[in-house]
Amino acid sequence: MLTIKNLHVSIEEEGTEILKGLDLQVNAGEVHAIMGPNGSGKSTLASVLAGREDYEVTEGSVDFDGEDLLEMETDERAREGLFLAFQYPVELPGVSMSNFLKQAVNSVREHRGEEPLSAGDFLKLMKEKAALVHLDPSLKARSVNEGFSGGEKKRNEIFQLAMLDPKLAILDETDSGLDIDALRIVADGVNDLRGQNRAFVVITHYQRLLDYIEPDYVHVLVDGKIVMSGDKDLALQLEEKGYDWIKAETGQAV
Amino acid sequence: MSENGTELLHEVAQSEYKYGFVTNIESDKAPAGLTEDTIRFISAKKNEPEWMLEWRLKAYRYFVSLLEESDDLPDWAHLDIPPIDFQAISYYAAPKQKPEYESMDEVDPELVETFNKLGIPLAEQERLVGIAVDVVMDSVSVTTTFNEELDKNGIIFCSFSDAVQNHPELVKKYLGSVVPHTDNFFAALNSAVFSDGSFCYIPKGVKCPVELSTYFRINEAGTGQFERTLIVADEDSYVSYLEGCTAPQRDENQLHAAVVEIVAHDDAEVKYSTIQNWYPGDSEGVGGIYNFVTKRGICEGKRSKISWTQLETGSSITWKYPSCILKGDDSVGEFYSVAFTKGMQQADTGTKMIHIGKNTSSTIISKGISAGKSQNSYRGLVKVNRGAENARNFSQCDSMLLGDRCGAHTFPYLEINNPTAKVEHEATTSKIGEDQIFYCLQRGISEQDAIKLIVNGFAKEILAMLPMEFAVEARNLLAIELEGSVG
Amino acid sequence: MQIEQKLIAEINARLERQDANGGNGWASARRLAAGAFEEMGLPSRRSEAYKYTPMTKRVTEDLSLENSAGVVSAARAFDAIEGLHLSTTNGLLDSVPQDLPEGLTISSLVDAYEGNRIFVNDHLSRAFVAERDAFSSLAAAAAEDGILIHVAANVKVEQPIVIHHDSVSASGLVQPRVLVVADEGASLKLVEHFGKAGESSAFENRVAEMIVANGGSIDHVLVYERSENATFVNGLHVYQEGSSHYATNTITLGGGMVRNNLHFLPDGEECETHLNGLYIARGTQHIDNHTFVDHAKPNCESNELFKGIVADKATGVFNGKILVRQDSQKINAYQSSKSIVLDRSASIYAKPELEIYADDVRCSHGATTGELDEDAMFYLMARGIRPEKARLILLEAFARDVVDLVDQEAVKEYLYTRLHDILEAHAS
Repeated sequence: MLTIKNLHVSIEEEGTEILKGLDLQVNAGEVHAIMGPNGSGKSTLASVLAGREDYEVTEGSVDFDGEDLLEMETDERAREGLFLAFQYPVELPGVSMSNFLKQAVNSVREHRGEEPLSAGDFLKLMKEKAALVHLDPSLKARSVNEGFSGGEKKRNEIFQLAMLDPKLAILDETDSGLDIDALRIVADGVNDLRGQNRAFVVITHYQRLLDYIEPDYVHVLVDGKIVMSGDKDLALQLEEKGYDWIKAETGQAV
Repeated sequence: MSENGTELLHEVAQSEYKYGFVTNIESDKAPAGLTEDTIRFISAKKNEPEWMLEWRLKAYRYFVSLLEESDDLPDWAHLDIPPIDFQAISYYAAPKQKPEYESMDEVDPELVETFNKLGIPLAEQERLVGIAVDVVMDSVSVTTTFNEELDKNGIIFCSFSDAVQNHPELVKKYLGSVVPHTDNFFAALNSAVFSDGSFCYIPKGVKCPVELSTYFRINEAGTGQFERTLIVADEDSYVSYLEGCTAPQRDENQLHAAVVEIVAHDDAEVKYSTIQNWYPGDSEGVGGIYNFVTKRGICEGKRSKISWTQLETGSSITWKYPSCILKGDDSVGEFYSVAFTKGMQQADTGTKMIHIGKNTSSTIISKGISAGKSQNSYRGLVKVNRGAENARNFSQCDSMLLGDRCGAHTFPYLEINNPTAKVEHEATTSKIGEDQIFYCLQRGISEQDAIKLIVNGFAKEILAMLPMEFAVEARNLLAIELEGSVG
Repeated sequence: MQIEQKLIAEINARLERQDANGGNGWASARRLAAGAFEEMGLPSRRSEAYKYTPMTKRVTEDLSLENSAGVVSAARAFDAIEGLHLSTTNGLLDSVPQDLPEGLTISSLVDAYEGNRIFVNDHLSRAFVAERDAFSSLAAAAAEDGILIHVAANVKVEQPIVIHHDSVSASGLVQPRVLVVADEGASLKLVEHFGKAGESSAFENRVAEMIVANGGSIDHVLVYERSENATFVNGLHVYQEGSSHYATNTITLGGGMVRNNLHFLPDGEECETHLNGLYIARGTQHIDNHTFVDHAKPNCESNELFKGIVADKATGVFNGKILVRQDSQKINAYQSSKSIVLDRSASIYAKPELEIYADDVRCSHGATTGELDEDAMFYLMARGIRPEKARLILLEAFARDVVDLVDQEAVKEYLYTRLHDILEAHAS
C-alpha cells in the first residue's frame, strides 16, 4: 500500500536534512510502529506523508496504492485515503464539528463516487463513531478542538479517523499527554478500526502505547534512517535497554 | 432561508456580481444637477407641505456653504475618495405612475420579476411568515405589505413620503433630532434631497410581532440614492428592523448617501440589522457604489437599548459609522460588524458610542476581513462624558488578512472624562492560520472550502446576532464573496 | 499666523548670518527643515495628529528663537548615579568631558563637524525626515549647534551616560539638537534628566536623533520633571539598521504641556524595538505621548507599553500607531496602553492604531481606562489595610510596571521614591 524508497527530506527554510534515506514498506492490514528518540525525524515523516509544505523532499519516492504520493496535494492525499492523527490537533474557532466533518466526509465520498450523506445518516454516523472513543455526542455543536481537553483532542482525532474511513492512518505521537485511561480508550478505538483493508503507521516515543495497539512490525528510526526492524519484541527490548543500546548495536549516533 | 433563496445564492456564486441587471421600468427622473430648483422639484413631486420644503432648503443652503469651503469631505478617513461632481448626479428617480396595488396581480410583471431575481420573494410573501417588506427602489417606496397585521398593533410602517402626508406631527417632532442636517457633509446633502425611505413608529408597550424589512436597491443610471429612515420606538416597545441593499452593475460610480435615525424611549429596544451588498465595482476598481451613510440612534429613555448588526460586503467605498447616543440612564448600545473587502474595495467603518447618562454600557465587536488589494479599516469612538457615572465599554476588533496586497487597519478613539468609567479596547491583526488550513486539507477539504470554513468561523459570533433568515443569507453571501477572492 | 512668519524670519536671519560667517555643513538640511516648517505651519487643533493637544495655546506671539534671559539650574537628582556625567544649558554642553572610554566621542555638533564633516553629514537628519512634524522641523531649522554622542564599532560602553539638562527661565524657545550614534556592534546606555527648575516657563522644543547601526544597541531613559509653567515638545527619532536593539523609557512627571513625539523606524531585518512610557498628570498638566513604529522591513519585533495616571484637572493623551508596510512579513508588534482617571475633572484620550499592509504578521493593541481594580481594593482592605493606603499600594504597583522595565537600578530607585511621593497625595 505504501512504499517509501530512499526518502531524503530537508527543512525548506534552513536546508537542514532530517530524513536521510528512509525505506519502508507497509501492506494492507498491517500495523507498523515507528519508534525513535527525540529529533530522529518521526514527526517529520508523518508531516511529509501528509504533505506539509515546510519540508522539501530532495530525493527518493513514496508510492501510495500505485500512485506517486509526493505529486498529490494535501487534500488529494486525504481524499485518496491517507489520514494523519495530529500530535497537536489544531483549533478552528467558530467552525462547528458537524459542519467541519460534513464537508470532510462528503469531500471524501464525492471522490469515491459516492452520494453525499443525508443529514439524518450523517448524524447517525457521527453518533455511532463518537461512541467508539467515548466522545459526548454534544460535541457536534462545539468548535473544532476549541476548548477541548488534551485527551478530548486526541480522542477527537481517532473519532475523525473513524468518520473518514481511510486506507492508511498515521498516528503521530497520539499517546503523548494521555493518562492511562485515555490511552486505553484511544487504543480500543484504534483496535476497533483495524481491518484487512486498512494499514496503520503508529509513531511513538514510548513502548507503552504498543501494549494496547499490538504492532505487526516495529521499526527504529535514528538520525533520519530506519536502523533496525523487528516484531513487537523489539519494542520491549528497546523499552528495557533504551536507545543507547541501538547505538551500540548499529554503531549509529543517537 | 427559502429554497428559492438558496437557489438564488447558487446563481450568485456563478456570476461576478449577480445583482447587476437593470429593470426597464419607465422612470420619472429629475435632470442632473443640484440647485434650489432641484429641491423644489423633489418636494413638489412629492406634494410636500411647506414646512418640509423649508427644512430641505435649510439643509441645502448649509450643504452649499460646505461645498464652498470645499475641504469638508472626510479627510480623516483611511479612504482615497475621487472627487465627486455633485452637479452630475440626478437627485430623483421614481418609477412612473406610482401604482396603488390591491393585489400582486396588479403589479407590473417586470417588477415582480425584478423582485424574484433580487431574492425578495414578494410573490410568496404570504408564505414568508414574519417579514413585512417595504421595498425602496431608487427612491420611492413601491409597495408595503403586512399593513393589516401592523395596523392591529398600532404600528406605523410606511414610506417616508406617506409619513410626511399622514403623520406630519411625528415626522416634524423626530426628523433631524438624531442626525441634524448640520451633522456632516453627506447628512446635509441627504437632508436636502432625500427622495424617500421608511418610517416606523412602534407605540407604547407594543412588541412588534414581525421583523420589519426594507430592501434598497439603486436602479437608474446616474442617480444617487438618498433615502432616509426614521424609527421611533415609544416606551417599552420592541422592534427588529432588517435592511438589505443591492445595486445593479454599472461602470460609473453611483453615490449613496442615506441617513438613518432611531429614537428609543424608556425601556424600548431597537435591533437594526443590515446586509450591505451594493455593487463593489469590478476587480480593477471600475464602477461601484460610494456608500456614505450616517446612521445613528439615541437611547433617549431610561433602560433603552439600540443594537446595530451589520454584514458589509459591497460598495467600492464604504464610509459608515452606525452610532448610539446613550442619553438615558442604564441605556445600552451595541455594535456588531463583519466587513469583508476584496478587489479594490475600501471600507472605513465602525461606530461611535457616546455615553451621557448614568450606568450606560456599550459593546463593540468588529471583524474585518481583507482580500485582494482592498483596504479595510475599523474606526470607532468611545466617548464618556463628565456626568456619565459608571459607564462601561468593551470593544474588540479583529482583522484577518487574506493575501499580501491588502490592508487591515484599526483606529479606535477613546475619550474618557469620568473617573468611574471602565473602557477596554482590544485589537488583533493576523493572517488566516496556515496550520488551520493544513488541518482542513488533511481531512480532505479543499483549500477554497477550508478558507470559507475558517473565515465563517471567524465571523460566526457576529452573524449569529442577525435574525434567523438573515443569518443564513449572510453566511451564504460571505461564502460567495470569498469565492475567487482568495487562493 | 503671525508667529510662524516671525519664527521663519528669525530662522532665515540665522542662516544668513551663518552664511556670512562661512556657513556650517548642515545648512542645507536646516534649509530643508525650514522649508518643511513653512509648508506645514504650527499644527492647529484641526490637525488629526494634534487633535487632543492644543499646542497653539502655548505658542504665544512673543515667542522667539532669540533669548538672553538667565539660566535657572534644575535640581540635579541624578548626580549620585554612577556613570559618565554631562550637563547642558539650553541644549549645549557646559563643558566637553575628558578621559572618555576608548571609542566614545562626546562633543558639540559644530566641533564634530569641524573634525569629521562626512560623519556628521551622513548621520544628521538620517533618523528625522523634515516633513514628519512641524515642531521637529522648527527645531532642526533653528539649531546652530547641538550635541553628538558617538560610539565606534564594536565598542560597548558599560557605564551609562547621564545628562543633566538645564534650561532658560524666560519665555524663550529653546531648541536642543541631539545626535546619538551607535556604530555596528556598538552599545550604549543613556539617561537624560530634565529636572525641576524653579518656576521656569521655558518652552523646550528638541529634536533628538538616535541611530543604531547593524547589531548595535541603545538603551535610553528620559525623565522629565520641569514645573507646571514649562512646555516640552520632545521629538525623538530613532533609526535602526538590521539586528539592532533599541529601548526607551519616557517618564513624564512634570511640565504644563508636554508632547512626546516618539518615532521609530526599524529599517533592517531582525530589529528589536522597545518603547515604554509612564506619565502622571496632575493639576492642569496636559501630557501627550504620540508614538509611531514604522515597520519598513520584515522579521522584526516591537513591544510598547504606556501607562498613565491623571488626577485633578489634568489631561492625558496617548496616540500609538503601528504601521506594517507591504512586504514587511513576519512582524510581531504589540502595543498596550493603560490609564487610570482619578478625578472628576480629569480626562484621558487614547487612540491606538494599527495600519497593516502585510499578511503574515502578529499585531495587537489593547487600551484600557478605568478606576483601580475593585476586587484588589477589597482584598487589601479585607486584610485590614486602610483604603487610602490600599489605593496608594495599587497606584504604585500600576506605575511601577513601567519603571521596572528601566535598565538602570539607580534610576529605578529614584523613580520609585518619586512615584511614592507624588501618588501619596492622590491616594486619599
